[in-house]
Amino acid sequence: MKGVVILIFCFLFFSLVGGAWGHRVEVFPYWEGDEVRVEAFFSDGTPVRNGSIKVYDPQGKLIFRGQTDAEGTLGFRPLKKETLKIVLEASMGHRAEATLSPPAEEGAVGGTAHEPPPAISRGDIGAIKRAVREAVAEELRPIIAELVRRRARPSVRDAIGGIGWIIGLTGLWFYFRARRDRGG
Amino acid sequence: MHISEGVLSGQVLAAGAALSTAGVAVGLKRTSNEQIPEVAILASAFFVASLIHVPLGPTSVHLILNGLVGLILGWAIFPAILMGLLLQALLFQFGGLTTLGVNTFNMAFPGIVCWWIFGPMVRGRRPRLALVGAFFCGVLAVLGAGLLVALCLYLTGRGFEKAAAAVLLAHLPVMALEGILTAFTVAFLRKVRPDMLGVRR
Repeated sequence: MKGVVILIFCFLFFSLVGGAWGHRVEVFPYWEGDEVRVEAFFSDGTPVRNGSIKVYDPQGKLIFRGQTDAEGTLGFRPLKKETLKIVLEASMGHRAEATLSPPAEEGAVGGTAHEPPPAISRGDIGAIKRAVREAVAEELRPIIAELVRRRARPSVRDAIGGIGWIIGLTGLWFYFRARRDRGG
Repeated sequence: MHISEGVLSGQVLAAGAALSTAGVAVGLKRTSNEQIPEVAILASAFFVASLIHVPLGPTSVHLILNGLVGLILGWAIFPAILMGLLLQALLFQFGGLTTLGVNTFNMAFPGIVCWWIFGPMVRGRRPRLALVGAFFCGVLAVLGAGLLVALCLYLTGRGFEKAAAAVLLAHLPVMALEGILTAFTVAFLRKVRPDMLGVRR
């Protein structure tokens, strides 16, 4: 019994040291201009190679299918900018899906209320807004990707909590056994 | 080894749930009071083992330990794996609640088969033979689980050969690793707690 306990702690230790957490896939789509980029990875951050990607339009029609490359990424140009459902299927029955909203349209991001300074024409304002939006999206992308990654990775707290649950369930099992043995 | 939600057909899910329910019922019945803590400890080991994983080619795999769990628990592997998988599904979103039955069966059943085949060798009097038996128990339990996963995908209409090839290729190192791990654990338990394996002195 002691040996097995030691074994469990070895596992916990190794998994913490290696930072190697297993087993689920995550798909992260984003717009890059007119193109949709898709990143696919396992919960430890390993890219999903040759994962099958299927893209559905809001009506549920399949509009694109393809495979991720060695970096677990894939890009394609949809005909329309609309809400897309992206489904990833990796080997061995792993599956994940994500919904990608269309990028914000011109003028959709506030700002029409206040008067532009006279020196800048309306056309310029539109161009500046677009440039800013693109720049911000680009800067935010790694942060969002990291958030998606974090969400996919189970924490040590989860693991220890799970062991606690197992102990609790075992207690429950003993309780029912005791009732049966006494009542029987 | 954890099949996600929305991959398998309803029939496969239902069949897996039915088989696992039967397995868990037998397991609960055959577990003595003294054995319950062992079930809990091995369920914890199984639960945590899935977090250690090896990135490998197009996929990433992790330890399963179903051979070892089967060898020590026999039929009680069903409740142990069910507990581990339930918590993995709830806490880590590995697999899923609808695939719980299928996943439990896929991992627990090969464990029982290996326990049945290699149990006598492992419990026997010759330590070398016990090691060999334990090694193959670890290897073949993973192989069996992989084949069952491939079979489930096939029954849902995927090509069996392609799915099986992917699963087997990905699990070769895991099979070797589990074989060695099971052999070491058995060697250790035979010295320290032979009664856990059911060794008669």
